[in-house]
Amino acid sequence: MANPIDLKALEHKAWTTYFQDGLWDLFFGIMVLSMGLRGLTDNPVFTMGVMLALVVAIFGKRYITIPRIGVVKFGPARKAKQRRIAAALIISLLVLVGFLLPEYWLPLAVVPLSPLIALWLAVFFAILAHALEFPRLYLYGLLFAGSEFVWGVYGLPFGPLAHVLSGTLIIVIGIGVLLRFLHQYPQVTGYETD
Amino acid sequence: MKQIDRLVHEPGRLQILAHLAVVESADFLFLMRQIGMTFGNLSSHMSTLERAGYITVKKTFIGKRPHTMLQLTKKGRTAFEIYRKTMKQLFTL
Repeated sequence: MANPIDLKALEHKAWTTYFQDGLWDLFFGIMVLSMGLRGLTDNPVFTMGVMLALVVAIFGKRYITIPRIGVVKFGPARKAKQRRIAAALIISLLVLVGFLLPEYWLPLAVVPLSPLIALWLAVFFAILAHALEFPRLYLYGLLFAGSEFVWGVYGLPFGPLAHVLSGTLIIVIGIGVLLRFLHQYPQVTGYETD
Repeated sequence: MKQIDRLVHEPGRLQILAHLAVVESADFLFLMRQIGMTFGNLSSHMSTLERAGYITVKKTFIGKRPHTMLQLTKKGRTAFEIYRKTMKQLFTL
C-alpha cells in the first residue's frame, strides 16, 4: 500500500462530506434573509422564511444529498462529542437569557442589549462551527452577529438591510457549494440492483 | 513473525475495513464514494468480508429502492486491530 491509512482523517472526511452540499449554508442564508425582509417590509409572510429554510434543509438532504453520497451512522466518539457540544450550546443560551433578564427590571441604558446579543450570536456560531467542523459557520456567525449589532445600534432601515445583505451573501455561497457538490457527486444509478 | 491476515491485507478490503472501523455503519453508496471503488469491486469485496464474518450486510428497502447497510462485526474489528498492530511491529527496528 502506497499511502498510510489515517483513521482520524478517514472519519473526518466522512463527517465533512455531509457539509459539502451547501444545504446548511442555504438554511442559514434563508433564515437571515427572511429576518431582514421581515424587518424592511413589516410583512409577516417573511416569517415563513424559517419554514422555507427547514424545507430546503430536510428535503435537500433527502432528495439531493443522500441519493448522491449515501448514508453513514457515526460512532460513539462522535456522538459523545455532539452531546458535549449540545450541552455547551444550551449553557450559552442560558447565559444569554441571564443577560436578557435584567432588561425587565433595569433601564435599557444600563444593559446595552444589542452588543450582548451580537456577541452571543458570534460565540454560539463559533461553538457550532467547531462542533460540526464546518469552518464557513465562523463567517456566517460574524455576518449574523454584525447585522444584529447594526440593527441594535442604527435601527431601521440599516439593521434589516444588513440582514438582507448578509443573508444574500450566505445564500450565494450556498448555491456555489451546492453546484460544486452536484458536479462532484452525480447521481449514481445501478448500484441499487445489488 | 506473526501471520498476516491475507483477507485484511488486500488493499481494497483494507480500505473497506478502515472506513467501517471509524463509523458505526455505512451504506454501499457511501463506501463507494469514500473509497472511490467501482460497484463491482466493492460488491465482490463485500461478499468476501461477509463470508469471513468480518462485516454484516443488511439489505432493506427505502420506498421501492433496495438499500444495503454495512457494519463491522466484533470479529472484523478484532481482525483489523490485529492487522494494524502486526503491521506496526513488522518493521520495528
